[in-house]
Amino acid sequence: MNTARPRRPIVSVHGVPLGAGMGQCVDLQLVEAARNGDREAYAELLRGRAGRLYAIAQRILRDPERAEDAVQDALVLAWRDLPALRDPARFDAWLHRVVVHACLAEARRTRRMTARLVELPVDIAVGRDDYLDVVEREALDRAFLRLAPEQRVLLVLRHYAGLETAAIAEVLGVPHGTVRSRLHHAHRVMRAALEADARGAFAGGTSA
Amino acid sequence: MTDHATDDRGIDRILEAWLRPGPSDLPDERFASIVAVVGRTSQRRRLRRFGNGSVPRPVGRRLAAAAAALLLVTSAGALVLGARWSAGPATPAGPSTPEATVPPTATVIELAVRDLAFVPTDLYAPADAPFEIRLADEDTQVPLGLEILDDAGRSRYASEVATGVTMRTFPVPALPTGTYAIRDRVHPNTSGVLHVGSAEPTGPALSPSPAPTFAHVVITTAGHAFTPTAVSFPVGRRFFIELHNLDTGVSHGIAIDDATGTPMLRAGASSGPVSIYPVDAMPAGSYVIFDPADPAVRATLVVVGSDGP
Repeated sequence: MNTARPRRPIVSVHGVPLGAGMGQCVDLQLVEAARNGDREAYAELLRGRAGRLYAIAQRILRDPERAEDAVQDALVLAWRDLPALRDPARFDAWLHRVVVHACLAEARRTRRMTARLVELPVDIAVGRDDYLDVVEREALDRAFLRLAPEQRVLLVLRHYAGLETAAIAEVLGVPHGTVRSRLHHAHRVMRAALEADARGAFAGGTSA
Repeated sequence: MTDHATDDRGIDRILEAWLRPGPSDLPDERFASIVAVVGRTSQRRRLRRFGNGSVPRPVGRRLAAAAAALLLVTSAGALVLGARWSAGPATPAGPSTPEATVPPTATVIELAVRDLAFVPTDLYAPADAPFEIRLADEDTQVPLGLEILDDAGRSRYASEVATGVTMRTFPVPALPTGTYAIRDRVHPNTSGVLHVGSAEPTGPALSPSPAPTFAHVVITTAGHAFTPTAVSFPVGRRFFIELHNLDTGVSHGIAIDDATGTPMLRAGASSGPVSIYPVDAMPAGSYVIFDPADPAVRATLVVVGSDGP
């Protein structure tokens, strides 16, 4: 893991890191108002966050419609349970957790129903980069969908959301060390899946 | 590809390059849908902690909190009828008569719609006084509107048509003594008889604001868990459990066992968003509600009160 490379800055308020790298400055007054039943305040909180949460969900699930469903379920559940959030400063981590859980539930359902291979359309204008070509992206799609949903969550939180392991630990509610070991394992599984794909032996067998 | 994947650093770079592109905005219509659903959804006032990094409370305090929550649910049960009648999305359609102003002491008639039939089919109301019909619509995906016609076939009351509203209140203006037909505007075969000014033959005499004959509670299932995990009903009453299924595409249902494991209710699971399960009056005691499709999903049902002689 390349820990020396600079990552996204942690946003802080009054010198205290909030959201632990969720990329969002928490408006405590809005959170408090939403906790007390102010729907406008909650909508305002969502307005700045829904896109990012959807992007995370979409990358975990690799299916835009299911990601929308998961985000909707999560944000409605979060509204219902918001009064039980004790520390408004942890709103973002908590909200990420709710979304991640919704994604995991959605992914498990998908896995039960059928082994879906849903591939993202490659958006040339937005998505093309110099590092990966279409063939590589397809291989990555296949390998990623071989991972357990929990491993996908880890990789997305780390490599898309840019969260440090401490922030991931907060979102997932597991110890810091557990995140590091699971992340390392997810990398190994992903690498094994890619190597198997490259050997043409992707179909059948386990990847790790 | 495999060249890049020889160490964690390579995987880091590959994953970041691969994950970066793609949609990053929730579609506006979906965001609007979420805000609309939130607008119709009440917050839960539970004592359960739900935050990150929180330290579990001592068992004694958790038990006290659970007891307090149970009390809260019990007391809320007495209010739940009034609180739930008007909830839910409505799709108004068609002409309707102006709504009557019904005093709080007016007679309330309980009515259910099940499989496109009224239960009961005979209703009794006082003459020359406004009254309310409170309707539990168990056919939740079927549009419904009430209409009352006199013996000449003239419409004396017509409500709006709505779909997906599980509990509704219809304020009916004063009607003179007589026998009226009451029917669903959408499904005329769903019909009954409204007796105005005559006493119910086998039931208790008409009285202002009679005690409701059934109660109603909403249980949500999402992520393979029931919320809330404890509900309470008064003894001796029929009640309804309205199951909101947030697990899209997954079937959930309701089953009830008593403390000895004896089945009290078995009902089929559904993947629909809302299912209503009528439950006959049960003796006082503690019961287990579980999802027959996933028996690990459980909640506690407490029927409180005295069973009487």
